[in-house]
Amino acid sequence: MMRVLPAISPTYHQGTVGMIATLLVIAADEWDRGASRRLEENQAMRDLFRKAAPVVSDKALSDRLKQLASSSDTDYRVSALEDNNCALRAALIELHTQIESQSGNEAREIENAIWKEIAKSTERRRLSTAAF
Amino acid sequence: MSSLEEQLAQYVEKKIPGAAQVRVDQLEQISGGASRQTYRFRLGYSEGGTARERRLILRRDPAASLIDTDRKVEFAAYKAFFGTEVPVPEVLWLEDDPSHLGSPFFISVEMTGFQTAPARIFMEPYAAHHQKMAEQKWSILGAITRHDPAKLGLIGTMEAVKPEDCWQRELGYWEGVLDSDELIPQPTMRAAIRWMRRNPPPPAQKVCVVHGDYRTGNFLYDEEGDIRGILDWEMSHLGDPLEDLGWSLNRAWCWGGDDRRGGLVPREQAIAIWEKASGLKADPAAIHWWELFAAVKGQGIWVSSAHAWETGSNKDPILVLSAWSLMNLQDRAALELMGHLK
Repeated sequence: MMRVLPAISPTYHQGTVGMIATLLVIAADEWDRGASRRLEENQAMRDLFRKAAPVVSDKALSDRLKQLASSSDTDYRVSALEDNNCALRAALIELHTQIESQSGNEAREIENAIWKEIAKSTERRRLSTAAF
Repeated sequence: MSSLEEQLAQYVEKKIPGAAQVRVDQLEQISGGASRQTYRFRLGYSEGGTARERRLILRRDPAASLIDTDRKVEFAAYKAFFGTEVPVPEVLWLEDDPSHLGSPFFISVEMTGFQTAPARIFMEPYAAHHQKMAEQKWSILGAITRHDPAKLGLIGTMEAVKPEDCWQRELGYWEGVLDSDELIPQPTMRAAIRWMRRNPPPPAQKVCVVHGDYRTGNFLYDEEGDIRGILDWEMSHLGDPLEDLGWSLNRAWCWGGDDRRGGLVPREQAIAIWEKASGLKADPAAIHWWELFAAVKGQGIWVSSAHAWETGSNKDPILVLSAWSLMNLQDRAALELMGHLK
């Protein structure tokens, strides 16, 4: 890119090509880890839901968490794994909201486990190009 | 259909009484953020037999942008601060009628010979001036807070807000953006928003003009490290002055890959400069709240840009690049502020 970019004009298009090159670097990261990180994360959330379901006082949510905990990834295309990931993450938000409103040690343990999983999830998505 | 140069020349000819032989050339699109299409151009004309030339900037609305903003507000902010100790380019004409150039726009004077790119502050001769740049950057931000919005003539153009309502209005707006535009669920941001609602900040010390995107990358600087122009006022509004301070401290702008805010100085030093210049206090709990808000707002912007890209309303690569590279960073920033970053 250092050889090609200076030859591109006008400057605006030079910037656009530079951005596309950076996108390719990011896409390369994702291409390699895309399925792996989703499989790992989906399983981590299912394990968390299994532990949380008996603690959650909202029965409907508890039942749904049990159902999600028993689900699995059978289609390994990234788009299919992403659909499952989004469904699980949406449930994670519901669980987090619910558990914050509950008192007791068990609720705090689940809350801590949720924060740990959110932190791990963020780390799984971290880009090699990230400044921070 | 005539070219953009011809359309511009026809427009300007009507705006300058007595101007003849109006021509526009050297038109070049430049990087000016994703919220507007930005061009520089040379305007030439004859006035009373004297040849005149000006370097101007055109900011034109695209079909979709990162931020849904009102160009009238941006134009008014530039106009209000022109000639004050807050350096801004002079704005000339605001046009809402899309018939002239295809979409609404405004034209300002180009401030030439300066840099804006954050990456360049780490190169010579700029790298030697970080302290000076930081002093000016956060002093100018302090100066913005000292201006009475009423005396600036901005009441009415900018929506009024009570000191105790600043945080709710801003948080509500950006939560709404997440609600409408998020493509994937955002557990970190949703947790941050719940925490922020349970732990609101104190009322604003005063209601000020908030720039809305005050960061390294949105000001012009010279080789001596002097800041010559504050740009990109498209998100300006009335609000809590701590909002701008919190945004300026956001981790996304740590361009040096370390903890220096805006790539310039440590967080505490930036706050101290701002406090001295503004005469206001950055209460630790309050500024913490506004820093967390900055992460939510940043995520709102990147989520919007991802949405615009995904839905095809705007295919500028800056939309997908900013979303892809900064969404995870804002999650990390929020986690760090909430004490959960491992």
